[in-house]
Amino acid sequence: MSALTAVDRRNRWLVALAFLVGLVATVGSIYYSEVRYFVPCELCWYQRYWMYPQVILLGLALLRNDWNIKLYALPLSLVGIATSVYHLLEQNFPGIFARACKSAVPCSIEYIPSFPIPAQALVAFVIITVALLLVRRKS
Amino acid sequence: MSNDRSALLLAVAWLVALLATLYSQYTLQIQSLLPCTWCWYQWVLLYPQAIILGVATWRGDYGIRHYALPFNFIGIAVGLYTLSQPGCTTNPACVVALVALVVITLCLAMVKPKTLTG
Repeated sequence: MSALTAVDRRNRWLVALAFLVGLVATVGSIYYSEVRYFVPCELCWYQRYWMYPQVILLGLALLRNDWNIKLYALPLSLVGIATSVYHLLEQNFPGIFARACKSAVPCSIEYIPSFPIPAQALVAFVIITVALLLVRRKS
Repeated sequence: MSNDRSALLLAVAWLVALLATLYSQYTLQIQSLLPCTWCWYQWVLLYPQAIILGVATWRGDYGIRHYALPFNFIGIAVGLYTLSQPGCTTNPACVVALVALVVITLCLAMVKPKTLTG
């Protein structure tokens, strides 16, 4: 492999940060549902759908020094931000979207009121998004 | 010639991912069929591909298979396990998702890898 440029090294740090945040969020969510038995609601699942793939995408990109990955990971994290915000609104203003939640538990349920899980997800999505926005693709 | 073929295969893979995703939403939102837990996990490997393969189709990025194939391998493994679990075939979208992941795998396996630069 050719020597990494300064931009490559900067990108590596940023993608590694995004990868670690995605990994912690993924492992944390599995811990919540499979160890603590917090049953995920429908919107919780959708947030997982935009978080879990980050681990695979960003992990592989790190191995390959492929910074074009931001074109693929960024849309997922942006949809993730929208989903988390939607979930937080639904929790704080129940019924504003007039939509029943299609899961075994209602989407208004919160297992950790002091730091709601969708807020945790939002923080993770925002960090991943900012890190990926700072990644510079090759010109 | 072979590029045309790869472009078509990639577009088909994306459409299959998109249709399977939309169908799962139809069973959920319209038919109100609740999937089992393993089915939810299986969809983790499907939904992102509706976006990722769409971006790749738009860019003509055949190198996406390096990223998308692992999703399908994991998804097929989860899907096969899902079939063996009680109550997991109530929602037909679980089986449809598994078939979709297999079709996407076949399409991507035939795409000639050529990574875009820039």
